[in-house]
Amino acid sequence: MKKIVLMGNPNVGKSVVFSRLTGANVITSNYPGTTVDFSKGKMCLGKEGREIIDAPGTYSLEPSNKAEEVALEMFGQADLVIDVADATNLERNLYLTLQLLEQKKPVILVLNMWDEARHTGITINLKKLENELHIPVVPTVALSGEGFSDLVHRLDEARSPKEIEPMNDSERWMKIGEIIGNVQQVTHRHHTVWDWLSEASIRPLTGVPIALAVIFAALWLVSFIGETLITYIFDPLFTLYTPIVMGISTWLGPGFLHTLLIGQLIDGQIDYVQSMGLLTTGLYVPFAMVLPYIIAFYSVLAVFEDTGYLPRLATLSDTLFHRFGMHGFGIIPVFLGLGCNVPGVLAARSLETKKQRFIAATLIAISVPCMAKNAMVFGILGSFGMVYVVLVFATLFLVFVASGIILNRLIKGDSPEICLEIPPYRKPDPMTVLKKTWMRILWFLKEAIPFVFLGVLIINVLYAIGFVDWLGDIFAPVIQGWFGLPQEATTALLIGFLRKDLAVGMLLPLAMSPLQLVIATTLLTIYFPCVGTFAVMFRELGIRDMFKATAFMVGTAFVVGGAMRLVLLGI
Amino acid sequence: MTEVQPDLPEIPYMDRDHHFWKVQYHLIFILTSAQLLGIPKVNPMEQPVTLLETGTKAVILRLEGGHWFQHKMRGIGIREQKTIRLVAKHPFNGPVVVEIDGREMTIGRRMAEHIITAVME
Repeated sequence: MKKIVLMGNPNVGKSVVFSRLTGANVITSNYPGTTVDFSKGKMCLGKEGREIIDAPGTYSLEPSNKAEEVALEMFGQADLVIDVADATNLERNLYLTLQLLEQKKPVILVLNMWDEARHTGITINLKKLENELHIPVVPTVALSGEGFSDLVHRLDEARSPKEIEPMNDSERWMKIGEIIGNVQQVTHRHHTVWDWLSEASIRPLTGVPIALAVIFAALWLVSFIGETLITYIFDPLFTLYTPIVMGISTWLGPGFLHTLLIGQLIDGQIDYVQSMGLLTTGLYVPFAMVLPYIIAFYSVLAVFEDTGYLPRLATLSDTLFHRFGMHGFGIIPVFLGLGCNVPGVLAARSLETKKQRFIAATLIAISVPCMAKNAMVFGILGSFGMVYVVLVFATLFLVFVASGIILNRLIKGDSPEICLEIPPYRKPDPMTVLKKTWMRILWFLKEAIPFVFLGVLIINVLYAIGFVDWLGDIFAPVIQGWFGLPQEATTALLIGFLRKDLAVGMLLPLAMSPLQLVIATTLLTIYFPCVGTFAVMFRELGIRDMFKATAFMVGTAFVVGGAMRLVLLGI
Repeated sequence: MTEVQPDLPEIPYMDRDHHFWKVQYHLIFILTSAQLLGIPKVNPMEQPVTLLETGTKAVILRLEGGHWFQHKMRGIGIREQKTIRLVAKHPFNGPVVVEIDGREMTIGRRMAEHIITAVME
């Protein structure tokens, strides 16, 4: 099957074009570096099927980070290239276009965001541009679908012009100057309120207060939406469900199957958090405790991503992140990591050097708790008082800062400076936001449910064969002697490798003091990543660096756990 | 009788920004005369973008640095002869935000120090 690869500068809308052409769903947003890996999809053209590949954005064919390397690799496989360019910024985009044309592969040029170009007073003469480049040029508005039937019809007209000879850098820019002079006209545009807001939010004096307000508002919104969903939707649903499980419980009678499906009855009642049965805790934790916060977090994140605020936040945090051996873009993986560490670690690909990527991935794994775990911390620790929740997050923040500073000193390598395009503010498209949130929720359910079930199953088996007591005895010196926790907490740490949310739930029946719970939940973030994060770190960093990162995590858990015990418990 | 429009030669692209070229001619004049007089090649009008006042516009004269730096800067649109505006300068040697062709970009302080500009009057 013929392979069509989408190439283009970062943040021109390649992924939106991809979704339009294939009908496949991929994450799209308004900041450069959304796509760090390729996705494949199919489309039909006449009777033939075509494979379409969405590649990460790149400014040139000389890669400067891992994501751009992926783009280059995909280009190598292409039989036909759809070069997606931002019509509002044609001049800069043409550089890659010329490079692509020099490689002698059939190319068709798509001028995306055609509507925005019109609004900002940019007119491009398409006929002239086609004559200059000797390839078909199609204007599109990927968000609305305008221009796509034209694009599909003209795909086969894509060609590799003989007229374009290989050039060097300055020859290319000369040529671009010539082309732009012939085809583009820009009428002066008055500054809008958006421009004013854009500058206010990126200047230090006004930007920092705005950033703090925005982050605070986002956090409030997430907890508000999460709580509302729990109180008005998910808890009432489980209240309806209780008589059904109670029925099953009486019908089953005591026995192993009862323990496995329903778990322990507490005072003759089902306790959804503590019972540890597949049909009780196995359903309640992912659906009623975690899912509401996942919905809340990802809908807020989607709006955030699509407005284009994240690159501004990256600019404001650049100075701080240099202390941690990264630059401001590092805040984007951290933000994504707050939802789930896996996409967070993946997003680190947009950082240029190995040192930066290593630090970003390690910091995320060690000190950025994912939303699933946060939801449980809110649900369980929050009932003792908000001060304990704050204590957990404050400790993790300190761990983030301290680990960042230490890793920056420890790890050899370069930490280049930031070089980031700031997209204009755009109004998030409600359909895109909904679709993106829905995709991420589905992804969460697909990843989480099997592991929660597996976790519950393993817990029950381990209890049944007496492994839990044995393990507890072995680790007692560390868990009890050093961290000041009951030795049964060992099992929770073990299960934490599968699902951290479930592990937090397992701490509840141990009758710990709130301060002990604070220590245990904090350690649960630091000591080791969950299996999904572990796998993706292994893939991204390689075995040696993964080993280094793991040693650092275990070491930090040891030090921080001991210190917390000393400060919080006194002995 | 209908008036016949004289066939005006098309204005070359680079001449469109008349003001910009005026600045360039001044610069070339100063540079060459300075060199003829044996004065070291320092132009009082030249300064790195980091020394501009926030909000001012300038023309990029050259990018001082290795091939990779120049390539990277040009790739994101920071090129010789472009008009650049300093939008923000972050404290503690933080990054600078510049605007070129109506698009904002954040670049590190050290990189920005190697973008040499001349202020437009």
